[in-house]
Amino acid sequence: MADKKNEKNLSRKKISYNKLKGLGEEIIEDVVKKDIPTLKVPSRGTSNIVYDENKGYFVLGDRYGKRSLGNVKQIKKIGQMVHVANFCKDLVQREKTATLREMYYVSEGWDIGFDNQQESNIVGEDIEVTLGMSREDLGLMPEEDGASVYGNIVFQEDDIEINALKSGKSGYTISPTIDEVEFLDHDVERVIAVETMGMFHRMVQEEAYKKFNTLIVGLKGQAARATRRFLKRVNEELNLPVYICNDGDPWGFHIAMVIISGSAKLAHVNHDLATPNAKFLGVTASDIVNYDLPTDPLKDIDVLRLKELANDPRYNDPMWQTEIKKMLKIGKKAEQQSFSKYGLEYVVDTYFPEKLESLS
Amino acid sequence: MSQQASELFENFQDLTPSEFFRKNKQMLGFTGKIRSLTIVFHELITNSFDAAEEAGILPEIEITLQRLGKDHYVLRHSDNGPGIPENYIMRVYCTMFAGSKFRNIQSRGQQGLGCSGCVLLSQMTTGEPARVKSAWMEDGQIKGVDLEFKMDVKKNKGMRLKRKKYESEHTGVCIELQFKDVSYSLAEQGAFEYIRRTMIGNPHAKITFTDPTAHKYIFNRAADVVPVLPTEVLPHPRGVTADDLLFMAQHTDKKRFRSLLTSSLSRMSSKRVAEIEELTGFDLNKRPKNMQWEEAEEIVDAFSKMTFMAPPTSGLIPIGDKQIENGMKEILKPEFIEVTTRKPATYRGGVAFIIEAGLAYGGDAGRLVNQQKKSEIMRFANRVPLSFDQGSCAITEALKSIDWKRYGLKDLDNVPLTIFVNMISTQVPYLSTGKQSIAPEPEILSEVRQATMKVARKLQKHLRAKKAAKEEALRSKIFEDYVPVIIKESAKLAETEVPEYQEVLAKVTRRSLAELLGENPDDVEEVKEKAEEVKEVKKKVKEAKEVKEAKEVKEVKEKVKEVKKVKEVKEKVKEVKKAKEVKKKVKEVKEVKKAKEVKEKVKKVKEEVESNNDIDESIENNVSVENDKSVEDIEDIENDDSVENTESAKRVVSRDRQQTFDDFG
Repeated sequence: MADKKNEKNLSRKKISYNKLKGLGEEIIEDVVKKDIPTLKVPSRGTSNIVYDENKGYFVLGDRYGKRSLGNVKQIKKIGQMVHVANFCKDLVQREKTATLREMYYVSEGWDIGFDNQQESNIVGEDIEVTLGMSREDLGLMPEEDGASVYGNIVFQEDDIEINALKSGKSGYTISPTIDEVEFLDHDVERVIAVETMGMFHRMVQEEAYKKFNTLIVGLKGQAARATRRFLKRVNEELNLPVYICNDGDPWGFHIAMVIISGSAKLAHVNHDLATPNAKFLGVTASDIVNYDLPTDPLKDIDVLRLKELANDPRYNDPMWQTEIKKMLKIGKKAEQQSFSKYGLEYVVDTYFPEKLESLS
Repeated sequence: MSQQASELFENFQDLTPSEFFRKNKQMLGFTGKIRSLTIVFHELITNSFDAAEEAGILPEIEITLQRLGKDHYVLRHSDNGPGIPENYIMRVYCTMFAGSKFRNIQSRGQQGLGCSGCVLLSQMTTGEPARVKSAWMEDGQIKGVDLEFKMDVKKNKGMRLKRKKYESEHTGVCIELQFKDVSYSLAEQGAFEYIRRTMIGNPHAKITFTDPTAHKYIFNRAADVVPVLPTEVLPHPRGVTADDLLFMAQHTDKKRFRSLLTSSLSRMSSKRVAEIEELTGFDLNKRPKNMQWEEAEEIVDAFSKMTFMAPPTSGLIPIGDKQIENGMKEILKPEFIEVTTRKPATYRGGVAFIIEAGLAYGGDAGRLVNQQKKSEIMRFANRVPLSFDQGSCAITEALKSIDWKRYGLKDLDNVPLTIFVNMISTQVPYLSTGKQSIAPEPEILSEVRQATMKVARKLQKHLRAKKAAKEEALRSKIFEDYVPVIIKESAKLAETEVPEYQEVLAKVTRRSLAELLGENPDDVEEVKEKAEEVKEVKKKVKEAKEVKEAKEVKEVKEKVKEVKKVKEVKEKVKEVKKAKEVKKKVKEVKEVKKAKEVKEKVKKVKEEVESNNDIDESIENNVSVENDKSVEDIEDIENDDSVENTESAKRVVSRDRQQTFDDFG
């Protein structure tokens, strides 16, 4: 199994490498043919981001922009793209990674550099969409670490084996280079991701990992790219169902939805990040009513956001529509930790089992 | 006890002009310390210029301003004019309203107040006498005198204090005056700026100026032609008032109204006189001396109801584009200059004037204020700079009404720009006795606008071209910098050698140039492709044509051959006939000698036959000429670039061929 993973990783690298090389070849071919080199860069404008009903996430449409060497405004972008491509090719070749910020500093030595990091980030994304590769494949790593994982699973990161059950109370931290990590072994049946580390620790203390035979993932708010990649991989490679439990408000809903259906901004890499069959466990508006949870009234901004979500194609599902409407109707929201009203153990002893049953 | 009227009038007295102006010096423009000095400069320079030009001399002036104390200066002003004969010196400098400028003529000064005003100011502020050295030509000799005098204000006359002999190698006047309560300034209204502007309006002059710090400025002449002297022109009927007319009537030597009108006014034909007679019902044979105010008024009223030709403009002598340009170049050394002179126009229906405008941009143009270049307006009337009362002047008003943004000047105030406007007229409508601003007559405003907008368009072109050139340089630099880097990096990425890319670089630069010129670069490529297509089509057409031509030529040749044969046959028939005749003759005369003659005749006939062949050849030539013509037609049509036209070209070919054949038919 490990060999297979290795192979897969190797081939991923090979693809990245070849695609980067191809970008250079495309330009050189044009030059040899005495044509003015042009690059087709898929458009990332809102009008070119479309929701794919079948896939269940946003994808890029087929519109693209042309970048010509003969255009005074575009030539600089092309120059930056080739520089970045060379930089990435070197990373891939040497099996190294760098953050966007590091790349920005490296670019100081380039003939065609960046005026600011914003510019270098955009060119990074340009390369991602042009090659159809995620930035992690190109060796460009996000700054931030991913979520915490607790539970009986064994990873191999380089030469080290790590058991997420023996990595301290805060669990194993998903690294930005999660694609390099192999899954060696596990004996869990599911994955439960929770929004806050408070709930994460509660579940660790109540030994939820044993009770439900689950991995506990502490998202720490909006899920990082590495976290989403991890959830997708455990879901697809290990065939584990993924459940998400967040606060019962529009923001909690959306944290779940970004894991399930990806974000519009990353439409070009959603195929690597979205976990369409992950399930939202709660807290739902119905939970607030059914469990009679302590609530806060919805603020104006919450109402506005809920209405936005109601019109978002990702929330087309009847379950979501019902819950959004219900929340608007009761005008209330509740936090995950509000279950403590019934005692600290209640959420693990009562709520999770009931909800898991209803969802399976 | 009431005073008797006669007592009241005991103190009643005449006020001489000098006395009047002593009390009202502001009416001579002497208000403020800076302005007073500028006006002194103005009066003296103006007088020197006018005198020199009238004598046909290129003016050359030397001015020294020396500071004696706070607001206390001594001014020495000498020129190279014709000088003033001794008898006239004190009249010129001490009598108000004496002078030669009360005519309807384009001149710098107009009222004869200038010089005496300066002497008056000097005397009023310092009590010091004026000193004048004059040298003039008399009986072929240069005579000179050195006078010191004061002005007797009560008598409006000069008072001589000293007289010395003065020897000079050339004619000219040197005046020395002291002033207090004046100050020398480099401001826009100051004396120095006045000289600078004077030089722009009078590039044929030379001025050397030594300022109070003993710094010597030499303004060299940029032109060495004395301006053509303006001639006096008769006033236009629309430009005179009843009072003017009455004055003319009293001073004329004409015996009748009729002749007075035609001799003292322009555009006054006998037809117009008849019209006046009809309109007023006056007997125009009356003596002018007896003209009444009411009559004058009615005649002037009649003028306003009539249509006259525009006033003559022969009396107006503009500075001229070239001269202004030289003057501005000399002083401003601008990167761009454009000057225009408008055609004469009239205001108030009867006063002719000409507007000249110039723009100088960059270089020393504009004024430097706090290290920042500001635009400046230089107003002139009959070449004289107008330094004061800018706000109320027609020139300023007209310039302000122009939408400068349209000419590429977004912020007019902050550009290195000098705007020059000169109004030439026999009567400049000044707003006040200070003669520093022109009345905003609608026609004047319009002319100033038109003239300035014309030069502004040229400036806009220049600015655009400059911007485009800069951008183009910037663009091609971008390409020259980036293309090699990109191709090098791409080769590294593709892991190949860097290919030859000069052609691509050239293409890219061409493309950007097209873009810069506002053409769609893709169109340019398309056009190029099309041009290539057209070339090929043309080539094919040419080939086809050649084939056709060859055929045609063949056919024509054959025809010509046939014709030749026919002719030959005819000739032979003729020969035979002639031979028969000869035979007859031989039979008749039966003499050998005659047979010889016959032989000679036969020879001649043969020669004739040969010359006939020449004719045939010339026919052939004609044919080929016509062929060429049809080829030309085809080429014209081909330039329209389409296959369809090739079809019509073919048709033309066949039609022409038809014609050639018809010619032979």
